[in-house]
Amino acid sequence: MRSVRHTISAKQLRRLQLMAILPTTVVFLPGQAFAQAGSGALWALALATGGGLAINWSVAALMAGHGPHHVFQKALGRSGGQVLSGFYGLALAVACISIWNELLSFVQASVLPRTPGWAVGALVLGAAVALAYGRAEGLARVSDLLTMTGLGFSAILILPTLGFIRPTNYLPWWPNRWASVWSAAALPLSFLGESVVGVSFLDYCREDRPARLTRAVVEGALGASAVLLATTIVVWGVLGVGYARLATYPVLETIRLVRAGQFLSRLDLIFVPVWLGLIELKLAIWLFAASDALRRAWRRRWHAAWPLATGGLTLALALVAFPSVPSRIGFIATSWTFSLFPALVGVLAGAGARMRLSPRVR
Amino acid sequence: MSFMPGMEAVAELVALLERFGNRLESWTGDDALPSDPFRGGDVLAKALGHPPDLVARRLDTPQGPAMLLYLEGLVDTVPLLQGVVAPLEAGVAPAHFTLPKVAPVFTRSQALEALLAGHAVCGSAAGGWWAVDVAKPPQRSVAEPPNATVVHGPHVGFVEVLAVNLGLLRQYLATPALRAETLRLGGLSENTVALVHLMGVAPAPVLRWLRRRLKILALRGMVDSSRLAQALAGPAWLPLTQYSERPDQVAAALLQGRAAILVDHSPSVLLVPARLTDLLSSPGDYYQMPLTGSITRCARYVGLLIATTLPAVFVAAITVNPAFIPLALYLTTVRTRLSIPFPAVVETLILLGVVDVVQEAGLIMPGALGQTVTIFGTLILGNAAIQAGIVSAPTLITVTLAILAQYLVPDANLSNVLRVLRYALIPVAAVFGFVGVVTAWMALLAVAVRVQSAQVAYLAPLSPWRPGGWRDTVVRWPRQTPGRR
Repeated sequence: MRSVRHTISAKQLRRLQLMAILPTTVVFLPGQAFAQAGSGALWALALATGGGLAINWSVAALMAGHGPHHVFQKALGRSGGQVLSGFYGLALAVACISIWNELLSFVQASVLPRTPGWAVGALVLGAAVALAYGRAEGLARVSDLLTMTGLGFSAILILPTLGFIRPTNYLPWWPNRWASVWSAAALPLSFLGESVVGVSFLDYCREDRPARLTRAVVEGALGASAVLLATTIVVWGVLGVGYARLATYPVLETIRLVRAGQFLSRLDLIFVPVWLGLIELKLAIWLFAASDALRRAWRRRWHAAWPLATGGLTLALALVAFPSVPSRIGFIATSWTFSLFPALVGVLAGAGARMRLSPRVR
Repeated sequence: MSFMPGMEAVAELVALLERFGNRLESWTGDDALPSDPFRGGDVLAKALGHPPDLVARRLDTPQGPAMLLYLEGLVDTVPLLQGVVAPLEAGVAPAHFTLPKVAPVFTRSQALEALLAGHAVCGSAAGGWWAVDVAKPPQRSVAEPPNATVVHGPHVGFVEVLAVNLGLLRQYLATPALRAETLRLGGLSENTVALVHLMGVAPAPVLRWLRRRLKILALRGMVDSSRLAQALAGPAWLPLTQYSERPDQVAAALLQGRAAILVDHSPSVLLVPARLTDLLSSPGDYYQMPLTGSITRCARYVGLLIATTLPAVFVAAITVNPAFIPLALYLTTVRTRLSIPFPAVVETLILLGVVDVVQEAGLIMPGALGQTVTIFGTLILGNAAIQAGIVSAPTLITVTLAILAQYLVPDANLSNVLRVLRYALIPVAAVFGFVGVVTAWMALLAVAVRVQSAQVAYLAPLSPWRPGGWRDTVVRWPRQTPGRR
């Protein structure tokens, strides 16, 4: 797109892709994997990592360094491109409902706010809109800062946690039923294959070489997968399968189990603020991608009202339609994992393939 | 011209028209000084409004009567008498004076400018009008600025004279690459401003931006460099220029590729671009070992967080999220607060307000009186408030820690911004707890990452991520690699 300013580097794209996947993935997926696959959780996540890697690489490579809206227009012409951009934006907006769900559930489980969910949501919406208003450049800069902060604090947390690992928890290595592993891999696969968001920043990237852009997107997703696998191994070792499958957020339970001493008994004081910030950043990245796609579908200029409207609507839906944790998990499985995610992968890959075959492409 | 009471608007309009007329005449070259020296003296005295410090002396010279004018407080009387009065009375033409700066003046505006700069203006019917530089404006000696002292390192500071300040800079940077571009700014009262940089070191976009900004500035007068700092774009709530009164700090900044703006009559030099990491560094960091310098730097960053967030975290922990603080600490805090009539948020805000009042009073009061106010305010008032059961000791400790941490930040403007942020975070923390504190910081980050100081990202090199610049940010890495400048 000629009107887009190329403001972020390939390295920033990698960190944006990481931040678009990692925050909710690490706190949400280990619990889901243990609940469904038991001792096969690690296998399920490894399968998801492999599958996600293949999806990410395919999508990014087929798009050849172009953003989705450029690809849609090249593949289907101006009107068709607008329709696909609208679909892309709406699909990401539906995913934002799930992110709101995850964020509100995490806030409820971690900090026990006294204010109602809508008030917390309104506050977070303000910050997310402020973040998304900075567009790709602003989001990339915040990602730079929070990647550094997140990694630093994670290192502080990991060290004391390692001392609480019991090797006996790792037995048995092989799950009893492989069917549960396959089914448990579906949800993580739809999380780890979320290059469908990262590619929306390709238009804003200064890098021209498609191979480098593809590598940046894939490396970002791979980084998130690696952190998820490492976290799951630690959670498994500290809590064991029996306890981990009962907890909604086993990562939080693992950190709470660590006795830092008589005075500072719990380490979640360090973990929760950093991770809340990361989830808010993830929400802002998705809100930007969704609202940017929607305003392109309507061919309108960028304005703060776009993320505000998208965020406000998705927050309202998350609050009204999915008040309980089970309903939120059910929603993400039906709306994202088994419908919109495969559809988006198909649309992006299909449009990318058509664009590459089209004689109109230079 | 005198006006009746209530006619101030008319008087203002007349003065405005007169000023405009003078400017117009100056621009068209219609304000030539009369050849009669007495009439010329009257014209200049009238233009200045017959000020009491204007000396207009009639001299008898062999060529005929002459007029000598100067502003009393701005000239050095020794060269005036020996280098101007005596030669004039001896019949020496001004062009042959032995003083270094002698120039002919032709118009009233030129003569007025020379007089206001501390020059003596002399005129005779035969020789015309001349301006002789005998300026010696009130000036203090070069001394270490009290607001930026160091244990090791040079103990010199800038003064209020631009030429002296440039000279001080040249002592540190004896290179022909040092460039000083001067321009006159101010609509009503002009002042000299120098844009100083090292040629080939300062990035061209930064210099281009600065030149453009300086040219389009609309300032009525330039009393101090702070007026310039406020006029140089950017959000009003973030300091985007760095003040320095130390020539060594300015020289180091120029070597880093930054530019300095020196204003005549101001000891405060503006350094641009000013990133957050620049504002958190101090000249003293470079005069100690890298390890201790790094520890000091880290302490400043931690201090920034404590100064802004500690009271908010305290309020959040007491009010909304007690589970987040250690049980023993929580129980102790609650026990001490049992008899306090105010909720934690009100208590904290009141205490912060009181400390700020004491702080301001201590700053305004002169010397020893200021210390007395501070001691009375902090020790006696604090102790009395705790004993009376109005505030609790944990709240007082929290507030005191936040205030002390604020002083770790070397830049006064940034320090004041932290104070405002501290107040802003507390109500959010009281309502939303830790979620509120984190979300408020995320909103702040969202705004801060978009801010630029002279085309440079405010949070660089932390964001955008430039690892090459990290060796002189949160830590100060030793520079011992051979060949690295």
